[in-house]
Amino acid sequence: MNPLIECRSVAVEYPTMDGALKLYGDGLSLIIDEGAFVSVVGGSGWGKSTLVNLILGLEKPTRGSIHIRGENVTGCSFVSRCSRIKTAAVFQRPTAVPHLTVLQNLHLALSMIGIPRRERDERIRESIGFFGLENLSHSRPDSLSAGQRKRIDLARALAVRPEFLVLDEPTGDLDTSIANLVMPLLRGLNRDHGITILMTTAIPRHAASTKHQVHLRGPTIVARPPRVLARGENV
Amino acid sequence: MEKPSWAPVIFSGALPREFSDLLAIAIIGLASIQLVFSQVRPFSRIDASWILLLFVPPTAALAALSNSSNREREELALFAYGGSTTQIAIRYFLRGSIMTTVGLVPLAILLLTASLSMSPGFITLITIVLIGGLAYATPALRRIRSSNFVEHYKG
Repeated sequence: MNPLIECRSVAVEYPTMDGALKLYGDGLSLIIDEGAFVSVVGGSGWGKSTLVNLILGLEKPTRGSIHIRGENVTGCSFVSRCSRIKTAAVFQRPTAVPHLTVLQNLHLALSMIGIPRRERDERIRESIGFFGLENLSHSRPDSLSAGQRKRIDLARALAVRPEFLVLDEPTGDLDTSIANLVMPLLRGLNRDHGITILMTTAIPRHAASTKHQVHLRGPTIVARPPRVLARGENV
Repeated sequence: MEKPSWAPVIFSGALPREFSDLLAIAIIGLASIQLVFSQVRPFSRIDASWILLLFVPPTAALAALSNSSNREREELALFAYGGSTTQIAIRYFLRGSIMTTVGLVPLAILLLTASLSMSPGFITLITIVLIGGLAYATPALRRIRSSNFVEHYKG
């Protein structure tokens, strides 16, 4: 197996009032091979979404490096990383252009990556059908529930037919019936189409159904060293 | 592998469509009409055109700043679809330029009827349009470049 994504001793620190919030302890090292299905498990605030953002190039690590097929891409943007590996991302918070309909949003997303019109129609029809969005295709995202908007995101990701699919809590906001469809779909995409998948989840049952799991540890708080104002007086 | 295209991200949002955009067009349009019918001929002397140079950028920036939450969602979506900061900035620049152009139509007609050649007045008009587009794109660019922009992807 060839490593597709590699995180080498990655750590992130967020400054706080009293010091810093440190994610991933002394550094997280992770290798995602081509064709792998990896889930990242951890509690709220433990850095699951941050790890997704780091891998996508939306955030920069304080320490360590990120590599795509051996090439150091730590300083590269999301767009630049997408040019190296065809990536689709589904974020925790659903994203859609508010003034466009569901159908227009999907067309826009696919046209931006250069899919010709006829193929776009076919892919969109297929993914909309899978997620039961036929009746909502002419609705605007604002008029839909959080679960329905999440389904649009998943339909878009599916229609992109990526090499690397990144999902941040994909079953959050979904009805149980739809959520139960998502995990077998992802396993199918991974098994049948060889798509490499990285998924974060807080649901152990969903994590257990993936090939590999990464369990994050909680963040640590690093207190700021006391500032010496005068000899013998610490603040 | 498919070749990413700049055109959809830029042109799908080129037309001003929100209420704040239409309001900005109306304000710039009213100022243009006022200049057309006033005794002072715009662009004939520099002291008449500076009013528009000062007036258009804040109007365009205000239009871009109002309804920020909607725009931020638009930017987050475009980013997630694979759009770059530059593409998104050009999208808003074009929308702001179109908005300013529509507002300045009365002045453009006046200049066209006065002279068909490329007069200094026309060059000033084009400059104002570009400044309007730039002022409209600036708030979005600042938002996208801010460190907490990607935090909005998190739940």
